[in-house]
Formats: sequence, structure tokens, C-alpha cells
Amino acid sequence: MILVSHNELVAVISKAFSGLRLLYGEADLIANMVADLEMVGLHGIKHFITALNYLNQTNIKPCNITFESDSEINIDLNNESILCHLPTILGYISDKLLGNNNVKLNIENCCNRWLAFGELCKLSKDGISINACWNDFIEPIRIKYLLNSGNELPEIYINKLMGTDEGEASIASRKLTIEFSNGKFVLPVPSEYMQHFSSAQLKKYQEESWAKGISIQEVDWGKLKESSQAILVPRGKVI
Amino acid sequence: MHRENEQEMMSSMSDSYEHQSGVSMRDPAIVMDPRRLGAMHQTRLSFVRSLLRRMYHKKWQLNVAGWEVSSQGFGVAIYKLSTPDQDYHLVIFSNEMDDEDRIDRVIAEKWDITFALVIGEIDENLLKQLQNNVPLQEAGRNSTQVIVLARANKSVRVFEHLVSSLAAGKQPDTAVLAQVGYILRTTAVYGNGKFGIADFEILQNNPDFDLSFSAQMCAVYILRQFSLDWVNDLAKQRGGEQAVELDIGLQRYLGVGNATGLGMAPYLINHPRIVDQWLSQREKVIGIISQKEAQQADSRLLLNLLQRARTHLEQVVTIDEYQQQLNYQAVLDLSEMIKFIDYTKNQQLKWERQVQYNQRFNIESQEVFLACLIECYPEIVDPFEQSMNADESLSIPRGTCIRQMLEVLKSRYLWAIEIDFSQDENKYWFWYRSEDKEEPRLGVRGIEAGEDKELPLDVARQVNQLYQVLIAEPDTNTLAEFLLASPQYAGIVRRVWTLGHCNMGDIQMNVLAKQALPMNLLRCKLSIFGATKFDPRSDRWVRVTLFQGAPLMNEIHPNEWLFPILPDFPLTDLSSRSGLEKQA
Repeated sequence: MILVSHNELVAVISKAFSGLRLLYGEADLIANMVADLEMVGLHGIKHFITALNYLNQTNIKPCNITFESDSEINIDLNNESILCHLPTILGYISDKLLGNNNVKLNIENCCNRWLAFGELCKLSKDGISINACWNDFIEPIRIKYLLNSGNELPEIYINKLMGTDEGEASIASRKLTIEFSNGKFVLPVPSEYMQHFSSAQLKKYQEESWAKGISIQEVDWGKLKESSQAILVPRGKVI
Repeated sequence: MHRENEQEMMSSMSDSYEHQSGVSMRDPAIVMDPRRLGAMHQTRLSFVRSLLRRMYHKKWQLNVAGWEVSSQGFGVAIYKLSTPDQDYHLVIFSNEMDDEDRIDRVIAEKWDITFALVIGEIDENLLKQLQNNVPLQEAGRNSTQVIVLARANKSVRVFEHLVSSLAAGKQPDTAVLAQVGYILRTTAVYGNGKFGIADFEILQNNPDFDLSFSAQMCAVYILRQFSLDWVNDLAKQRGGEQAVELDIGLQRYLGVGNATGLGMAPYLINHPRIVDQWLSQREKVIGIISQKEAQQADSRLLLNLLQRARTHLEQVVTIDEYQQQLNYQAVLDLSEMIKFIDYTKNQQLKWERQVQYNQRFNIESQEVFLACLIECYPEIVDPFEQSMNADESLSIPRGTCIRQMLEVLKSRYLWAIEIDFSQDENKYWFWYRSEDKEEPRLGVRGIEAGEDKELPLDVARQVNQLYQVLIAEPDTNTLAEFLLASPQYAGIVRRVWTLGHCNMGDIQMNVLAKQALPMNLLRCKLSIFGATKFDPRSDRWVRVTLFQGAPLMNEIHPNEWLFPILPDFPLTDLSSRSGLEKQA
């Protein structure tokens, strides 16, 4: 394991993302999305390393709105990572909430949904309540981020998907559903879930990450460093 | 006899405008002009100055906690810094190296001195860790107990001259000191999480180092004390009883050198809200002082400072001919400005009038005048040191429409919109990071390789493209709608909106232009740090000094030490007297 600082992590991810030379996506925002998740111990780096595969192969396009009403919007991301699109989508939703108290967003065919964490936290700090749910791509589990307006960090609830068929079908959908509200959501009963990460636990982990550094596997750090080299120009070449 | 000129007064009025704070400030087009940024000097608001005031007010103490330095000057020295809240240690490693390895660029791998500022106590384990990692700099790993990691090289000439003179019982030749101004020059001073050290975030609640760059400045200040103790100690080791200590005035005169290259320039582009905050606070101070009546000011202090500034500029040694000319002209300009002060006072005018009068002179002298004027109002200036930290977020308010964005673009970014990017000279350079320690560099577009990896520092070009796209959109549409369809503009939209609503906003510079001078960016940041004695070595790197003229640790005070000049003492008399005293 290696201890790295937040600034170091943000810098290396930002360079790694910039090295992809994609048309969309803001390197600084994306780096912070990854770091925000990593700082609370939820494996932001592993998710980003996975995301690099999608981002590398992607034929990136603007997101495609497939349905829209005053209170609901469906967007198809064509199996792209949410990293390049989520900030602009959330900007659009924020505007919609000026005219409606509740908006539901369904993002179809999207990857790296754990990494929505940081951007959703920012929105909550701006006074919007959030209930985000998705089924994991690998394990048959359902994950829920719940943030009431003003919350710095979410309550995270994880449950097993019951029937195998249900699990497989919902895994394959790669959907992220987020309900936004100008009001508050009722918090569920933690005992009804297989696992609950409270905002207090996340906060404690985050504070330790600031104080002691972020502990990550050297192999992951190596991969990030390697990806970050893509922006570098060999010395002294002339066309 | 000076006459009021109505036209000039009119122009002065249009050059300033009222900001949200209610303070009338100069127009961002004036302040954020890179040529003016490239003429800035240390002021009372500079970080070296606020640090020393804090050290004085909070009664910080500095002691040597360990000194194992050989007669050649190699070994380890440890300084303990005690504040009312915490103890810190600066651990310094002095290493032997070949002259040919002594390079100032970031690509260097060996240095005369490497050092780290550490929170808390140093036990044997930590010292070992530091010993194994600090001399390696970028190649080492450090813990969050380290808050600053840095290195420095000797001015071999000054070092050798000082040690040999002092060892022989003589004070050094001041001409040698004046040419350089330091014993050690830093080539990188890292903070904020670099190579595993503590993030600045965790210092935000630290009452000693909660201000940006204050920990880095403190490490450099202690290094200056080390450099003086070092030469005194080596002279003593070599000369024994015959040796003398360096004259206190000369100790005060010597600062720490710094060599800064292109690497600093991207920082100013990538952290626009920090730059805005620094410049806005400075402009607020200037705005408030400009409304003060000159008659009520301590004009003796102002005149002394201006005269000292003239002497300082005359004494600055630089190889750069353009800077020599600027300094020469500034010396002349300042004497004209001094003459006008009487008129400003006698006519019971505000400083605003003098500042406006000064506009007829070079920017260099205008900025010198402002630095001196600011010094005369400590009660106004000093509280602003608490407002130099910035919130770096860039955001767009909900519901913002394209029409509102176009208004911001037209009112705050005309300088970028009006650039014709179809002309080669306006996109001549591209910025990239080299494989050599990721050093930022400039390449000529179409000639040098690397354009495909161009760094996105082209703010002016991005703004220009955004404007061209937005004017073709329905202006009642929201920016959120626009960005959903065109997410490639998200970054520049957030930047333009946010900076367009800041007091000073973006630096008004097209960094791709053939005539763009990165030196201006370097000088802006260095002057905010508090650098003096600007000595450009090319248009891409500059040598300066920090803490030159600053009080020593045992005499620390909150008063001014602007524009360092050589202490006024007859050299031969002093050195011979010193020798006589020893013989006696």
C-alpha cells in the first residue's frame, strides 16, 4: 500500500483523463469525483481504473434525451461512463427543479455509477435532496445514495437482489435512477438493508484520509501514474 | 507647477468602477493587463510580509535544535519553530555535489540543500525517514507530517566569498553581495500534498499556517536564517579565533534566492479564482487608499520609500537589458512622481489624483509608487491579509440563459473575443508537458512535436470559440440546455460566468500569441509572494530574492522592509575595524 495526498490523487487523475483527449468531460471535475469517492473509502480509484476502459473505447456523443416531461426525464448514455456527462445533466436537472418540486431522472445504459457520489453531494449542499438507486453491474446488489438537502455526505444502503432472474435483468440494464426533490426524503430503516454506510462513518473515513493520506494499492497507483504519462511529450522532437 | 487636466480626470473616472464591495477599483482591463502584472512589486499584502507580522504578533520562537555540519558545510541542521499552538521543525540536509550537477531547473536530480518543514517533534524514526526521502525530492515519499518539501542550491561565488572573508576576519565585499543578494536559492518549494506531504486542506484550521503559501514562506524564511548561521559557523570552523561574524546589516540584506521558470505559469491560468482574489484584495486596498487625502498622510515615509525604491532599482543587477532599461526609466519617473506629491498635498487632493497623474509614466514606476503608498496605510492594509485565500469553485447559477452569458462575455471578455485566431501569430505557441519531470514547456505550433498533447491553457481561444457558438443560439435558451447538447463548452462556460462576476476576473492574456510573455505571469505570482530584485534570465525564467532586507528572527518586527538596499557602511573601515577589534 502507498499513502497519497488528495491533491496528488486529483492531479494524477486529471492528467490521466486529459491524456485520453476526449471531446467531453472536465478533467478537474472528474478527478474530484474520483477522489471524493476514494476519500470516504468507497474505491473511487478502482472505479476510475475500470472507467478508463470505457472511456478509452468510447465513441463519445452528447447524451440522448429519449423522454421528457416536467417531472421526469430519460437519458440514454449509449453505454458510456457517467463521468463525462453527469455534471451537465445535473445542471439541467437543477434548472428543471426551479419549476417543479420533484424530478425523476432515468439514465439508461451508463457505466461507473458509483462515481456519481461527489457530484450528488455538491447538489445536496446547494439545497436539493437526492435519492439515487442502481443495481450493481457485477454483484446482484442494489445501491442507494440518499442525501437530504444540505447534507454533506449521503446515507448509503445496500441490499441483495432477491430472484436470480430479477438480478440478472436489472444488472444488464445498467440504469441509474435519481429522484430529486426540493423537499426531504424519509430515511429508510437501516435494518431493512444488508449494509448501511452512515454519513457519520463516511465522514470519519474522509477525515482520516485528509489527516493521514489516502491508502491505495501500489499497483493501482502505478496504473494511474502510467495513464497520466499519456499527456507527456518526448523531449526535443521536431515535426 | 502642475495643472489639473480635465481630460485626464475624465479618463481617470472611466478607468475605475464601483464593485460589489462598494470600493471603487481600477478597471480589470488595466489591472489584469499582463504588462502591468509583469511590473508588480512586493507590497504589505505580500505573503512574506503577512508571515512576518504573524510571527511578530504571535511571538514565534526559532531555535537551533540540532547542528551536525562538517567544516565543508555538509550534514544536517534542525531548527525548532515554536508558536503558541504548535512546535514545528525545519530539517535541512546539506549534501556534497559536483558543480556540473548544480542546475536550477526542475529536471535537476541533485541539490546542495534539501529541506522539509515538519509538524511536531522529530524522533529517530522520522529523522531516518526524512533522511531517506527528502534529499530525493520528487523521487521520495513523505508523510502528512511534512507540510513543506523543498530544495536549494548555493550561489557558489557568494558562499565561498563569505566564508573565506569571514574566516579571515574580514567583512565581505558588498559588491559581490549586491550582485546576487543571497547565499542559497530555492529551485522548488512544494506544499499542498506534493509527493505525499500534507494537503493544504488540513492546514486550513491551523492558526499558524491557514493562509495560502504561509507554510512555504516560513520554510524559506528559516532557510535564510540557516544560510546565515551556516556561513558564520563554517567561517568559525575554518578561521577559529580570527573569524568574524557577518555584519548584521549585511545579514539583513541577504535573502533567499529563487529561480522560477515556465512551470509557475500554468498555475496562474489553472487557478483563476486565486489570482482574482489576490488582485482584487490588492485593488480594494488601493481603492480605499486612493480616496484618502494626501495631506493627511505621512508623506515623509512615502518619500523615504520612494527614494529607497530608486536606490534599490539602481542597485539591482540584472543581465536582462530590457529590465535594465525599465529600472533606469523607473528611477527617473519616480523623481517626477515625487515632485508631484507636493502638488497633490498642497491642493488637498486625494491620492486618486496622484495615481492618475502617474499614468503618464511607465507601468514599472506606477507599480513601485503603489507599493510605497500601500505601505503608508498599515491600518487599512493589514486586515486584508486574512482575505487572500480563495474559494476555487466555478459554477453557473440555476436558470442562467444564453443572453445573460453573452452580456458577461461582451462586458468582461472583449479582450478575448476580439482576437483573430485565424492569424498564425495569435496561436503561435502551444503549451505542453515534457517527459522531463513533467516540466511545462512552450512549443511552436506546426514546427515542434507535441501539439496533439497541447495543455488546455488557451483560455482566450476557448472564450472566443464559445462566443462564436453562443451568438448563433437562441438567447432565451438556458445555458444548461446548451451544455447538455454541447458539453465540450462546459469548462469554459463555468469559468467565464464565475470569473466574469469576480472583481478582477481572468488575466487578460492570450498565452498562445507569439508576443505573449510568460515572464509577466511569473512576476505577478512572485510579487504576491513578496519577491524582490527581479532578474529575468530569459523570457522564460527569472531569478528573484525572498526576505531580502527582512528583519532577522531575533529582531522580528511588523514594520516595513520594502525595497532592500545595501546597508550604508564604509566597507574598508568596517573590515579593518573588525580586524583590529579581534587583535585587541
